[in-house]
Amino acid sequence: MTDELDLLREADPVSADTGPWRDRPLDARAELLLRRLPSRDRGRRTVRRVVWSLEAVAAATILALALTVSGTGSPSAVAAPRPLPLVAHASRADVSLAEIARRTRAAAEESPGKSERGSHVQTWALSMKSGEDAVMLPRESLTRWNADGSGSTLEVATDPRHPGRPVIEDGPPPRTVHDGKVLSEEHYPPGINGANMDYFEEPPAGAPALRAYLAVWSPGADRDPAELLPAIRTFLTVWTPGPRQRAGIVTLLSGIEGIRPAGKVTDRLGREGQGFRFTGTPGSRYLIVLDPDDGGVLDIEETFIRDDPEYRVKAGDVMSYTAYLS
Amino acid sequence: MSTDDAFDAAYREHYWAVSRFVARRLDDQAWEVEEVVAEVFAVAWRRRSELPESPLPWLYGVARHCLANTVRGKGRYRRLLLKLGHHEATRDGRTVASPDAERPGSWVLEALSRLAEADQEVLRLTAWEELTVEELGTVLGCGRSAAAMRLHRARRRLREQIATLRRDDRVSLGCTSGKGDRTQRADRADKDGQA
Repeated sequence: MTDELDLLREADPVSADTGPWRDRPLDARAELLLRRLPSRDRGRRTVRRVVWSLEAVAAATILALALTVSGTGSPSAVAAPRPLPLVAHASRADVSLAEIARRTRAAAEESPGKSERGSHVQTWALSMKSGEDAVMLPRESLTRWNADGSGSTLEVATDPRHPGRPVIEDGPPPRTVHDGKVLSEEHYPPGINGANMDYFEEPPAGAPALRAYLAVWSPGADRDPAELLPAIRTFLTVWTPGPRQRAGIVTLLSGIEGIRPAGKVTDRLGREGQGFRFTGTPGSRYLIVLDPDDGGVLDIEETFIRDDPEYRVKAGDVMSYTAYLS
Repeated sequence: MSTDDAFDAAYREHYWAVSRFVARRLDDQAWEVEEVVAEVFAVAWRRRSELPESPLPWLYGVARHCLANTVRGKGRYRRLLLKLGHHEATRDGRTVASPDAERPGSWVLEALSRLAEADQEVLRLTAWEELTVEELGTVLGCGRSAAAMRLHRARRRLREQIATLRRDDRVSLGCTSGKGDRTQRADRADKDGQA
């Protein structure tokens, strides 16, 4: 006769094999939760406090706060119309791009880990319409892929500098939504679904091979720095690079003619990095923030370099800002 | 392995088990389950220095406290208790109506719901979370012997309730359909006639 525990097992209302709580790799929501555990957010909270204090003394409305850069012996470089520094910087000597490239290559030789397909990115993108005020759209995106080709993407409206406050979401017309509103959530079954996205092949090691790889999806990235930087920006939304690919990216950056050191930077998430500026693209200027220790790209900011009355933007306004969280 | 790494590993390995634990004790609202699971891991993260080598029973223990706080705090405790006893209302297709039907479903849950909450939890942890007696002790915060004794008593009480339900069901079937009575009367009449 079946005993009472067997009967109870058969009546288990939640299955480990089927349904929403079945065993499987973490989905995007669970990954996001892990990464948002309270004290892992220390950097963000630091910058939030600073931003709030700035708001207390300056009530001017702006489209976005830009990075504030302080270089040794150079005037402050401000990428958007707010001249106040976000945080006090540590008194650490600037690190040159060549030195970061050397460190990154040495680290890659010592520990050549693989790149991981998937990314965790916070973006602020300007939405413009002729004759109307431009609005900044903050979003956090998490993309994960498994070995069997299954994966998930999650995109939420959030601005880590203003936790809990309504966030602007694209229209038409643009409207406010609650912080954390899920804008899109996709789950992909095992198979080749992920192959439909750009950069689906594993990135190679070595700067020349990586440049050629980027050019497959971003034509011109192998010839023109104005194409290379957007290619890197997009590539990093698909892949979290390993040490060798990080070394390749920094080496490519160090080879760009006209890229200039901009000094130490505290980014929008409160992380310290080394800034490098490039003004070779028509109408915009890039600021790339690197982790000086491992060469990881922390942020890529693109700003306008001249006014555009039609879209009501001014020189120095931020066009887009991408912060890489993993 | 650092404490943070150990926590990450435990999170990745047991996220869905903890979700099932919470889902079994709440209703089908996924967002409610996710909300509580998030709280469970936030608390566990703060207490990660206490994470034992086998973290799952410990996580269940954290989840029990979070569930109690969350549900009580939102005035849902009574609803929860009701739902624990009436899964058939929310688990369509997974349960059946009578002890004679193919799957036990609702009547076993009905029998379970007639027990004291402490007995129910011991049985759920054993049958659904598949804990050993030792792990049961970890979740309940008692020793192995005490856990074994509580399980032994709870099983006996569940057996009694199942037996009671079976008896009630036979009586109920007879009364409501009338077939049993008629059959018995007919049998008796035949026997009387033969006699």
